[in-house]
Amino acid sequence: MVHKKRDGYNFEDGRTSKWCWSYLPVGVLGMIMGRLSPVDQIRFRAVCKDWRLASSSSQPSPRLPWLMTRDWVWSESGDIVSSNKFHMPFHRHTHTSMHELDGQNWDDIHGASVCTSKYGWLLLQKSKNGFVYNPFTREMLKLPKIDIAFNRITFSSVPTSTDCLFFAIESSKKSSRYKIKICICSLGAQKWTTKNFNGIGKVAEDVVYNNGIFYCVFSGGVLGTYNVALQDWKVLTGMAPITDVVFWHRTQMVDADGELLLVGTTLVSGVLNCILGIHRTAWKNSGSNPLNFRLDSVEGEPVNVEGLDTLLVFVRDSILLSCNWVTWLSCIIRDSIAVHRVSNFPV
Amino acid sequence: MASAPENEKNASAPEKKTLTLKSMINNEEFVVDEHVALQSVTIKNMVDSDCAGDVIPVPTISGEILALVIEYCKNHANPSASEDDLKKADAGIVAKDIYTLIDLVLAANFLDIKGLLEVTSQKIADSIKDLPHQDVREIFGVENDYTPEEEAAVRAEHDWAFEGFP
Repeated sequence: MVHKKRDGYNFEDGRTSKWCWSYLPVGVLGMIMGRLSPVDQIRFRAVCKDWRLASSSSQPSPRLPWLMTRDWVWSESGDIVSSNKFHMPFHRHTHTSMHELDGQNWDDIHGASVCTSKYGWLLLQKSKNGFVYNPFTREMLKLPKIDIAFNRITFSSVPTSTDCLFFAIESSKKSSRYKIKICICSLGAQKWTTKNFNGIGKVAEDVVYNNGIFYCVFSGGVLGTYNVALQDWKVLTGMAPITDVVFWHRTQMVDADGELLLVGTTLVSGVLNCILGIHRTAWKNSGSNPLNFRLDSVEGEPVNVEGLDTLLVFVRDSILLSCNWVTWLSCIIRDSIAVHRVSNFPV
Repeated sequence: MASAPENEKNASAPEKKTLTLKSMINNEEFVVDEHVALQSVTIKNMVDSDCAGDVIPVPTISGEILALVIEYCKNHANPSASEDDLKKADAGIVAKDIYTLIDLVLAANFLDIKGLLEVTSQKIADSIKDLPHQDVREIFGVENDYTPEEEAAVRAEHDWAFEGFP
């Protein structure tokens, strides 16, 4: 595309005015920026300092989730490279990024499954090796080898920050004779600290961190909390188990601005529909409130993403995925798709 | 009630009240109905505070752009226009080259016409979205105030976003 710079206007008195767009009012710049896809906004920060400022101050859709799919493709030079596609369903925009990995990194990342994703980082696991990977900056940080067969693993804040804690939990459904094992470590630690607690005979289905506490949901909706400061593990009692609905697979927990939602997929009227059951809890006060589960049904809002045969279901700022024909595939989908929030990007 | 006809005449007079907008760039004058012009918050404030004379000078906006602005205001002042009609009309107004759009967005900003500002910003965003940032610099006549090191650092922060771009 060729653009010609136009001449300035001629005033009557012979002055010539050259528009000076660098002084485009910040408000106007912000309006334009806010209507660009997040990827373009990031690129246009390189235009000049004013544009960078406008991109940081404009808030296009802070709730916008990013969807990442990972694939392996042959590069022109004949190497296998990681191809990361970032989908922004609301912007109908897909950005493809190729990441050429050297030997060791390739060994680490290939075949690893995504355990969780937060702050634009993925927590990946391959047998006993865990590491965090940022597909945008391509940073990769290794965690110590983990010795428990954990059900779920997560982390508390941006992995590069000093207060970030990694948390893994193992709980067996076989019998309550099996202990619940909790492993904790910070980045750079030599090994995980393992603690054993009384077993409850249920599998840990998901774990999230919120305000000093790791919340863990077990099958049947049983909840446990681990208070980091007190190093105290509690299974919350006095709460009716979820019996009125059968979830098709593990429930997931979502932190929606301090309110934690429990989300499971169920089927209604045949295979083609799926709905989400949400158990909204009153966990804002560190779980000390009586817990009242309420089941809400949320219709899946189908959003088509090019090249992805999935039905995406949005719950507030979070994205939950389901396939439009076999819901049990969501475990697999979960392994290859990560969720990012634009608001979590470093400015 | 002999004065009735005169009253009627007076009552209908405000509807026909017009304002003259004059581009200070090329001295082009536009006579517009007041209610059309009052969609501009800037003009409304001038009129409300009695600052407006017979002719309202509009600095930094050319006649060409002012004509577009007035067209937009006329469309949106028409009570019988449907939402669809307005959408189509808006699309027609912003179907311009990028330089005209930049003039238009600045005019909408100066005259404080929210709807026009929004529709023009959207069109500009659509026009530049897939361009390399160097082209955007060129179009907007922006001087690159980064040092080469600073620019490299900004790029390095999100190198992935620049893939496929120079």
